[in-house]
Amino acid sequence: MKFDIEQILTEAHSKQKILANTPIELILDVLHNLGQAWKEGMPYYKEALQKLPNEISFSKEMIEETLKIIPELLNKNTLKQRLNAELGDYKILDTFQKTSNFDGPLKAFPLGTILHVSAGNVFLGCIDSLLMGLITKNISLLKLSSQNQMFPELFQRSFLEIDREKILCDKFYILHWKGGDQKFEAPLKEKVNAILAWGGEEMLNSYSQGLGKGVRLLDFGPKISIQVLSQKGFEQTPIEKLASAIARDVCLWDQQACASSQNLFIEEGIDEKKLIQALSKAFEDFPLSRGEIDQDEQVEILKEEFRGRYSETMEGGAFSKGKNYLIHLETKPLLRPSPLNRSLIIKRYKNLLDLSLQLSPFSFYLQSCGYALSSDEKESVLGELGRIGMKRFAPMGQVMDGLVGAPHDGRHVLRDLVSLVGDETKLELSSFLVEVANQVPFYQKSMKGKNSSILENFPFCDASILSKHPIFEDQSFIKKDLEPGYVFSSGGTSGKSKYAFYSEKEFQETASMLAQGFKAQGLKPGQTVANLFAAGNLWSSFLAVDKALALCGAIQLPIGALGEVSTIISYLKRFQPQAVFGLPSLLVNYANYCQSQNITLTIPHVFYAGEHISKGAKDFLNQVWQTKKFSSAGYASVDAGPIAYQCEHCGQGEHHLFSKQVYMELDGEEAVVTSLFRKCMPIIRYKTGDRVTMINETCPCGSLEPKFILQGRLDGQINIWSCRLLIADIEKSFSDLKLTIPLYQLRLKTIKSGEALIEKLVIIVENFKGDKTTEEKIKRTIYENSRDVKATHTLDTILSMIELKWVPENTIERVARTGKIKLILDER
Amino acid sequence: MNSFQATNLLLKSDPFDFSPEAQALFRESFKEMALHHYKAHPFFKRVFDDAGLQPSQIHSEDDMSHVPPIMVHLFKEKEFISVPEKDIVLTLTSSGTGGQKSQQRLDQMSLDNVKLLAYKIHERLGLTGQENVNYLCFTYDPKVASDLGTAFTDELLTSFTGRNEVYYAIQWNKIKNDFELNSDGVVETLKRFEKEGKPVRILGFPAFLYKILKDYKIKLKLPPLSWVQTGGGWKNLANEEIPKHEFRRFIFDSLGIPEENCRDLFGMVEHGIPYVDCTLGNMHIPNYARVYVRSPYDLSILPEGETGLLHFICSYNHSYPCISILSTDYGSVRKCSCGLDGQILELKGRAGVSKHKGCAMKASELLK
Repeated sequence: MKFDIEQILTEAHSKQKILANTPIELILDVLHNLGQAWKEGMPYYKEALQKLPNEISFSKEMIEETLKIIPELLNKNTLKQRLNAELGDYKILDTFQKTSNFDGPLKAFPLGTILHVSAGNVFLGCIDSLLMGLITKNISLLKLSSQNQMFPELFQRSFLEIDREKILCDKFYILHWKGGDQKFEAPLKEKVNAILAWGGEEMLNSYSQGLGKGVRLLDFGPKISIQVLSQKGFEQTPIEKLASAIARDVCLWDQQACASSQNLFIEEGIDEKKLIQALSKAFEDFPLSRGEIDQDEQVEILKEEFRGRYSETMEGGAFSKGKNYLIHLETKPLLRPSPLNRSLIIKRYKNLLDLSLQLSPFSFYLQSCGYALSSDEKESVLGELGRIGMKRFAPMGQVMDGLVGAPHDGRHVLRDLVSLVGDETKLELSSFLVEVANQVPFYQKSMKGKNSSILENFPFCDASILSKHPIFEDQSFIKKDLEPGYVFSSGGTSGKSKYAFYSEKEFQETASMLAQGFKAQGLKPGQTVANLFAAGNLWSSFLAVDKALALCGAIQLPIGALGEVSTIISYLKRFQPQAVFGLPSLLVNYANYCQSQNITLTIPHVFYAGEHISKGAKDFLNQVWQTKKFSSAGYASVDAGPIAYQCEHCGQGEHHLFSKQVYMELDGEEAVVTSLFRKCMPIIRYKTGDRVTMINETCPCGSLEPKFILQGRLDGQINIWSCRLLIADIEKSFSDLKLTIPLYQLRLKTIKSGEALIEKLVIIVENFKGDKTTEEKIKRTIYENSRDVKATHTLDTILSMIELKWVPENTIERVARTGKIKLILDER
Repeated sequence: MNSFQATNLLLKSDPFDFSPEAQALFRESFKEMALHHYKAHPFFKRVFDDAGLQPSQIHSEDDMSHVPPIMVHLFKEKEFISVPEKDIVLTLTSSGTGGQKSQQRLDQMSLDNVKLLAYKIHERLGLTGQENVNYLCFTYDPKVASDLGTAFTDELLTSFTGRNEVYYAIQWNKIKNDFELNSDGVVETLKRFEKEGKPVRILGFPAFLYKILKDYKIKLKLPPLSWVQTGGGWKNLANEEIPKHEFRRFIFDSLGIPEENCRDLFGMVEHGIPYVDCTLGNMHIPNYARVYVRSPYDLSILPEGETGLLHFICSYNHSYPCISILSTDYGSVRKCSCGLDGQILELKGRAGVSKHKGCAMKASELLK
């Protein structure tokens, strides 16, 4: 192959910018389409299958199995998964993106031009290396191994045909020269940005010298892999299955891969004869035949055969050999490389310490470990072997498969092929406001001529404004170029339907914020939790809680709220969750059902949201379910997103503000919030309708987030009799009288009394056996508790203006869609 | 006198006599020695048993071709001995260029035998004499490295003539605590030997001699009846190896030694038989040995001229069951036109440790 390496380097460098600016989606599309051209039976597949057996030693069946991997390797989703696993979010290859665990946005920049020095062992390896270069937007120079030239060239040909737009096909070069030729290697080592080298130590040493300034060498030297079989692992797995698994990890690619097991370490006490018999059969039965072996490889196998025979005769070892395999149980300790090509050396170990001592001298070379261990051994064995240098573990039989995005030799290679650059600005209010004013029609209009970096210049927003702009017909609140995401309904109890849009990322952020609150309330990983919010109907709660619980590491029971109550209760009874999430009125319904059916159920922790939970409801749930702890699932609204959370030290109504994501101001007593992370449908200065009081104290939980007390809804007061009667006063009255009243409704009526129209408060109490005496007591206590009423009216007046009605369970009218009870019906 | 009469007789016979009687004598010799090892060493027995052959069943040359080998690497990795430990009088090791050293453990009978057969072979090839000779040995000084096979060989080879001076080129450096080649000393010695006028014999690794002559651009005319006898291969300088005929020409040009006086020798510590060049530069197989070329795949014997693994058989060794070894050298056998009977041995390189294909570690890398 004749080429001018200097010219290629110049050309490659000149293409760096073009590739760096190519959208990753486009790159992945090209690769995906290329993968489709390599599907089984397609012309390139057929050609490779026809020609490869003449070039490489693998059997035709093995080649076929390997070729079948290509479409999956190039599959767009697989590639995204791989990038996401290593970079957090594949889109950071295009733009600065917020990723988890870092507050600011990150972008991954390609290194520039990469030289790939491929090994010839598994012919797909060089393509995978090239792929890693291209998906990280690096111009790639692929040096072929002398054993493997036809396939990469065929691959390049297929690239040229599929990639007509030349998105990628001219962004890599396939080259060959004799290893060590300084005419090629010296300028490359000097001028590329990184070298990705796979293979033997001699080659790696050569590439480690003479590197230009800043040239990154990613070397993947020869490695050795093993298997570990404990006595318990042996006993717990059917012998045929175990032997097949061991054979698979040895036979695939004829042991030429670094993950191929060369030694099987077995714990003393295992029936060795039985194991070797089963292994011999498994090797014989392995469906893919062994490839051709050259004379030198055969000599190495022959040597092992003599070792085996000697060991069996003189040392108490064992030996078995078939047409395509060799097994040697050697009594001498310590790991020892096998002659490969399906030659397995078995070693005994006494205990974990002994195993560790046998492997640790070779720690630099250790790579994969296939294991068959009992569950109680796994942690200690993997812990110790990982400590001495093992880089990868997988159950026996799965070592050669690998998970997408797994690290290689202890590092994430893709991450090494990019520079991760952070924009270390925090979510910042004024830049957010400017961006919103520029991009969102409603604010473009309302902020015209005003300084959009000042919050106070923005108009307040509230439910009524949002309901005038439903996003299915009016996109005033939506920024251009909508990202994938969710539309949620936020209407219902308080007026006309409204809709909120969350991008996927915003919703993930929402979940992450909620999870922070759940954890702060004591939710622990591994706890069983029932999600009793209703799913569907454009509601957000079920989904948000689902995602947040996943982040908490909970075991979820996604029961929902739309099934029969009996079914819901049967699930709770069966799985005994440690916590439930749900709407208070529905939870009370479920508890009612339990009580009426004499069902004993214990639910220690209730997370509520969606409506106020009354003291009565808490007492009732405590009585029926023995609930000890009630936690707010978070102070949030669909329109504004999460606003605050409670920690275990928060008293009644106390919350921590999510101050990194939410800016809160007060309009009088009312909380007004602006969510900085919601950029697709930003809501500026949203009037929550909630009364809050800021608290200036340090919380024992250690959080520095500002705290406030949520005092209730601004409309949680009734203007009646020319006074302000607080809902809280009514609830306090129930509580003072030690009455467990879980559900009630207040109706305000105007009735004629003679000539006069008088205002009457009717308190409808559900599922409570009340009488005239109780009614009298409640009226009197309300009078005593309401400072305003007491100051304005006499007790007698008020006694005549309040009426209590006792109604059966489930008879207060519910909102059809949500099941919520409207607390106040103003019928005046 | 020991009880191995056939062996005693064999080693007194002409090493290049391949008459039916001489061949039968070798077979008898092998049979009696194989029988001894068969009884004395369980693994030797196992190998014969696996092959379905008893030593007593060996009658013909065809039977000899069915004699099973033990592969040579085992002698590096394991302890082999067929006599009581107390009977061992000399243990030789190889120079260990591949990382592992092989051994040869000799009792008095075996030591006498190996010395005798070496003398007989060299005598027959005209390499012995009575005159006093100056020796330049490119080997380890035997005073320090007495157990190294090469040093033993050179010590042995220098005994085939009268000795004037023996200069050992690989000397012990006390400061470095290692052997090193004294190049300046070699050049100075060669110049001195040239002036002295006595015949000179240069023995040892060809690579060292070649490198010094080349680096120092030596042009001398050593006295008549001078010889170069190389052995041991090119070792770590394999990439500088030149074909034998070029080497012989180079020696002539540098030292004035006729090409026919430049002889190479192939030997293995484990095997002990020297395969020495004839005047044409071909290594002859004596009747003290048999060499078969085998396929590494099934160990079948390959036709004359084809390359395969070399299987060496000898009969002199009583203490070490190495009388049938499968080497890790490729080679072939053929006839020679020099006039000596029998076949010659052609070496074609080391077998095994295949070129590195990829990331799976091979033994060779761990041994580095």
